[in-house]
Parts: sequence; C-alpha cells; structure tokens
Amino acid sequence: MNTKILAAAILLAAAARSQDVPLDLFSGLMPKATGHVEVTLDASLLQMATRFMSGKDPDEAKAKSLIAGLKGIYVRSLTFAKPGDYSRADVEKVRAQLKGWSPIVSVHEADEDTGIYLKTDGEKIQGLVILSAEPTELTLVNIVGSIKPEDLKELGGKFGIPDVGDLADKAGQKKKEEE
Amino acid sequence: MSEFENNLRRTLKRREPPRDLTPGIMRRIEPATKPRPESKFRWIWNWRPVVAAAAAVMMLTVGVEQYREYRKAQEAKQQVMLALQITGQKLSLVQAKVDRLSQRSIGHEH
Repeated sequence: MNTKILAAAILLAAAARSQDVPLDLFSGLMPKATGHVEVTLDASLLQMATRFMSGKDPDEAKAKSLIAGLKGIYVRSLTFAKPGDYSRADVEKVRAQLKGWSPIVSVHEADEDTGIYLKTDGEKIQGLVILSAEPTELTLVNIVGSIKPEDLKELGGKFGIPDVGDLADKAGQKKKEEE
Repeated sequence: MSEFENNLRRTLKRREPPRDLTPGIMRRIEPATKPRPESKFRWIWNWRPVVAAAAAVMMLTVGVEQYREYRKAQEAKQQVMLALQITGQKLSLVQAKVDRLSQRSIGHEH
C-alpha cells in the first residue's frame, strides 16, 4: 500500500516537473472569460502528432523539427468582453509562479504587460514561458523541453515567430541604454 | 470361317475372372480408403465459423483502435499547429513592442 502511495507521489512529482508552470492559475478567471483556448500536449501526444506530420508540407516539417526535443506544450488563453475584467493582481499571481525562470524580455505598458521567460541548463534552453496580458486577452504559453533558438529562428515567417535570440539582444541593449 | 475370325472369337470369348481377383483388388485399395489419422488442427476446421468470427472481431478491434489513434494524433497535430501559431503571435507582439520601445529610446537620444 505504502509502495503504491510512494509510486503515485513520484509520478505526480514527475508530472508536475514536466509541466513546470501550474496552468490552473487561470481557472479562477475562467467564469469571467468570454472565450478560452486550451492546449495541453504532453510528450506522448507530441510524439503521436509528430508521426502524422508530413515532411513535405513546409510548415509541418518545421513544426516537426521544432517539437522533436520537446516534452510538452501548454497554452492557456482567455478572452474577455471588456478591459478590466481581470486585474493586474491576477497577472502578478501568475508571474509569482515563475520563480526560477529568467525573464529575457519584459514589457510593461499602461494597459499591457508582456514577458518572455526562459529556463536554461548551461547554454541549452530547457523551457520557454510567454505571459501576455492585453486589455481583453490573457495568454500563457509554456513550452517544456530542449528548444534550439535556431529552430525558432527558422520558423520565422512560417508561424510569424521572430528570433528569440534577437529579442534577448534588443532587450539587453535597452537595459544598457536605460543604465 | 476364316482363321482370322476364329482368332477374334477366341480372343473375345467371355472368361470368368480368377476366384481371388476381388479379394486381391480389395486388399490393394484398402490402404487408400482407410480413414486418415485425426489431425490435431482438425478442431479449427470444425470451429471455423467461430474462428472466422473471432478473427473478424479482432481485425475490427485493431482497425477501430488504429482509427482512434489516428484521430487522436490528428487532433494533437492541430493542437501543435495552434499552439505554435499562438506562440508566434505572442512573440511577434513582444518583438513589435521591443522594436517600438527601441525606436523611442533612439529618438530620445537624437
């Protein structure tokens, strides 16, 4: 019995580690939202998707190479009817959960708050979080696993994904300018 | 009557078969008509409707399972593409903001 409980605890811990960011953070805001998008793809689903991705379709081929080293993709996006349906405190609650993640870009404006966070292991990117708080939309993207910046760069123009490395450089320049 | 006719009559004359002909023939054909020993796979033949039905059910189950997996993979693929689109949009948004802020700070310098 104890062994079973221990095994369950280990499994839960492993699952929690692979996801990294608790995605139920948005569940409290769900009743206020007029629409929502949820994407939950763990390693097994990603593998399954890869098997059915065509190597001939350029978008699918790029996506296939990008998700090859990933352990999970989690997206939560809520749409609200009008600005003010969620508060800045709600965003801060989500941000507070990102301890251990390095913010590479953080843009605060009057009604918008956007940030990109990375988890790195040496030079390797082990995870990416995008937190985007717009007046009527709140989005959290968590990509878990080994991500090559050049893969993201390659996807530029395919999914409208810009170069993250480029963003980090610009953010660094801006920080220097501010100093 | 010519000699030829005599020879023909002699040749075609009905003759009784030897007494041991029938038992001899029966002895020779007996092994061929003897029932073959029962094969250990004979039951398959007897149960063929059941075996055919089981095979059909098995094939159907495998087919349904494969189709279910295919649908699940297709949904996963669509979700991957959607997730990448959202990621792309948000990264573009951040880039646009960073570009705007960079432009603004460059403008301030000048």
